[in-house]
Amino acid sequence: MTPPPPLLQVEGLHVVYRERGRASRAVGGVDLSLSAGETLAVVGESGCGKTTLGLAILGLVSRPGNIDAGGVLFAGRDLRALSPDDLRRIRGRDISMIFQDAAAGLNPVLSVGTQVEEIVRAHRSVSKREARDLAETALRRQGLPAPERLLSLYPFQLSGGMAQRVMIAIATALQPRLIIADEPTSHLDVTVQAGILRELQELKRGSGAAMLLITHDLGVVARLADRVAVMYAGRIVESGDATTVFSRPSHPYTAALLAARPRIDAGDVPLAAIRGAPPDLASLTGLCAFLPRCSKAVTACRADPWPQLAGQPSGSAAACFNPMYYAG
Amino acid sequence: MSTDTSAIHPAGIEQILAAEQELRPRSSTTRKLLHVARDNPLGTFGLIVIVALLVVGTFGPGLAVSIPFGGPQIVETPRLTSHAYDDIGVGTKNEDPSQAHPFGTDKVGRDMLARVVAGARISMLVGFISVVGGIAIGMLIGIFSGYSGGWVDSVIQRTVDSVIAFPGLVLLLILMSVFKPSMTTVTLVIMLITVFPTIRISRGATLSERNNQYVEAAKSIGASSNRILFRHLAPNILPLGIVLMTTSLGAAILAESALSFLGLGIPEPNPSWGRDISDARNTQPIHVWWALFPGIAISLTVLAFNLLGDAIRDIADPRLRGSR
Repeated sequence: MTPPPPLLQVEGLHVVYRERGRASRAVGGVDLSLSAGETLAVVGESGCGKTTLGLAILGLVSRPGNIDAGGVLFAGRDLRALSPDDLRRIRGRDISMIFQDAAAGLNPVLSVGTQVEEIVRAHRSVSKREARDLAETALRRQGLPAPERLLSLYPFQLSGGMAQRVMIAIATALQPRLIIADEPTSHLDVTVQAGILRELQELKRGSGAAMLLITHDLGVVARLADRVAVMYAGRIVESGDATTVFSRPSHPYTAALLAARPRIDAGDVPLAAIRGAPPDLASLTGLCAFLPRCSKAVTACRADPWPQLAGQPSGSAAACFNPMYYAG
Repeated sequence: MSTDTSAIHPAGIEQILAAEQELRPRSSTTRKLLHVARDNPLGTFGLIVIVALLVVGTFGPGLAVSIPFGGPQIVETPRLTSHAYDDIGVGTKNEDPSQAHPFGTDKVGRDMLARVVAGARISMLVGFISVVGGIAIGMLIGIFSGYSGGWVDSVIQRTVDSVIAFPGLVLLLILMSVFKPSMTTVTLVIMLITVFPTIRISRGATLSERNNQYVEAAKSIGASSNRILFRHLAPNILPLGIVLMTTSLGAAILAESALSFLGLGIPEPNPSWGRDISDARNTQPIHVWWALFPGIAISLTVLAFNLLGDAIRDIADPRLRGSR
C-alpha cells in the first residue's frame, strides 16, 4: 500500500522577526508533512516558534515578521505563491485556525451570531437566513445548548469553555480539510479542557480533517496526536510516531521534557526541571541551541553545526549527535 | 472521560438566558435612561442645557417671547415679540436690564436677549457642522492610516505633526486671514482644525485595536481587509468618536467666539456671542450687561458640552463605570 500524498507539506520554512536591527529567527528551517485525517502535534516550550509556524502556514505572519524562505504546499498548491485574494479564500474554507484565547479571539462588540455567520458569508454567497441556519448548525455540532438563543449573546456573556466552543464552531463551520489548533485548551480549567479535548477528538473522527495541534501540554498530545514534532528554538529536534516519541524519546530535550512532567503516582519527589532558559532567538550560534542546557553534550556538539533530523533506532527522527540510547 | 465534566455548563447558559429574558420586559428604555441620568447628574445637566440651546437655536428669536421672564407683561408689551436681533433702536442705547429688555440693550439699542438667543443658533450651527464633519473626516483618515501602516501611515502622521505643531488659535488666525470671513469659511476652518487631532487619536485607537487577536482570528477565517476594517475595527473605535464630538463641540464654539471676538469670524449683522463681547469692550465697566450675557452663554455652553462628554466617556468605558 502506498502512503496517501500529504495534505500539507512544509519545506525549509524560515520566519524571521526583524526589529531595531535585531533578527529573531522564530522558525529556522522546519520541514513537516501531514496527511488527511492525521493529527500532528507540535510541542515545545513558550517562545520556541510553534505559534509562528501555525501562522506562517496560513500566511498570517505580520510585520515585523517575515517568511524568509521555504514552501508551504497544501493539497498540491503552493500557498506562498498564491495571490492575497486566493489565499484569503483558502483561509477558513480549507484551512482554519483555533486560537489560544477564545475571549480575545472573539470581537467584543459583535454578537456570537454575527461572528459565526461571518465565516459562512466570507466564502459562500448565501442569504442572511441561510447563513444563520448554518451558524446554528455549527454551534449545535459543538454541543452548545440553545444555539438559536446563543446567537444573540455577546462574547462577554459566555464562559471560557463556551467561548472556546464558539471558536471551534467558527473554525469548523465550513468543514475545513486542515485545522490548526493553537493551544486550544491552555486558557481553560481542567474540567472544561477535558470537554474541549473530547470535542476535538470527535471532530477528528467525524470529519476526517487533518489537525496541526500546537501545544505545550503533553497530556493533550497523548490524547489527540498520531505523530509528534518537538520544537526547540525554531527547529524540529525530534519527530515521530506519538507512542514512540513518548515511550522512547531520542533527543535529550524530548527526554527532559517528558521527565519534567508532574506525576501523581511518583510520590514526594521534586520535579525534574530543565535547567537554564530557552535561548534568545536573536543570538543563535549555529550550534545546537539546546547545548547550554544539555546533560548529554559531546565534543561534536561544541564543534559542528546543529545536525539534521536523522533516523534513530527507536523509529523516530532526531537532530542530535548523542541521542538517547535504549538497550534492546 | 465522564460526560458530566465534558458537558457545557447547562446551568450557566440557562442562567444567562433567563437573566436576559427577565431583564428585557421589566426595564423599558425610559427606565434605563432614567437610571443612567441618576448616575450621571452632571452629564444630565449638560444634556439639558444643550437640548435647551438646540431648541432655542432652532426655533430662533421668536422663542424669546415665550421665555417667561416678564410673565403676562410680555403679552402687554408685544413689541418684545417683534424684536429681532438686528432691530436697531428698539430700546435706547446701553440700557440696563428691564422687563422690556431682560438682558439690556447694546450701543445701538438692540435687544440683547434677542441677540443672545439668536447667537445660540449661530454657535450651534457652526459648532455642529464643523465638529461632526471634522470628526468624521478625521476618523476615516485616522483609521485608514493606522490600519495601513507603513509609509502611508508615516506620510499622514508627519503631516498631522506639522499641522498640530501650530497653536490652534494661531492656525485659525492664519487660515481666516486668507479667507473672507463668512459663516461658511468659519465653519470650514474650524472643521479643518478639528480634523488633525482626530486623525492622531483615532489612529492610536486603531493601532491598539488592530493588535487584538480577534483581528487575526478574522483574517484566519478569510475575512477581507475591508470587512475587518469596517465590520470589526470600526465598531470598536466609534464610541471614541462620540466622546471626541462632545468634547470638541465646546472647543469649536469657543473657537468661533474667539474668531468673532478678534473680528475674523461671523460678519455683521449676524449675532455672535464672541463679537458681542468684543463690541462691548469699549463700554466696560459702565455697561456690563452687554458683555455679561453673551459671556455667560459661552461659558454655559462649553461647560455643558464638556460635562456631557465626560459622562458619555464614563458610560462608554466599562472600566470607569461606577467609579466616582
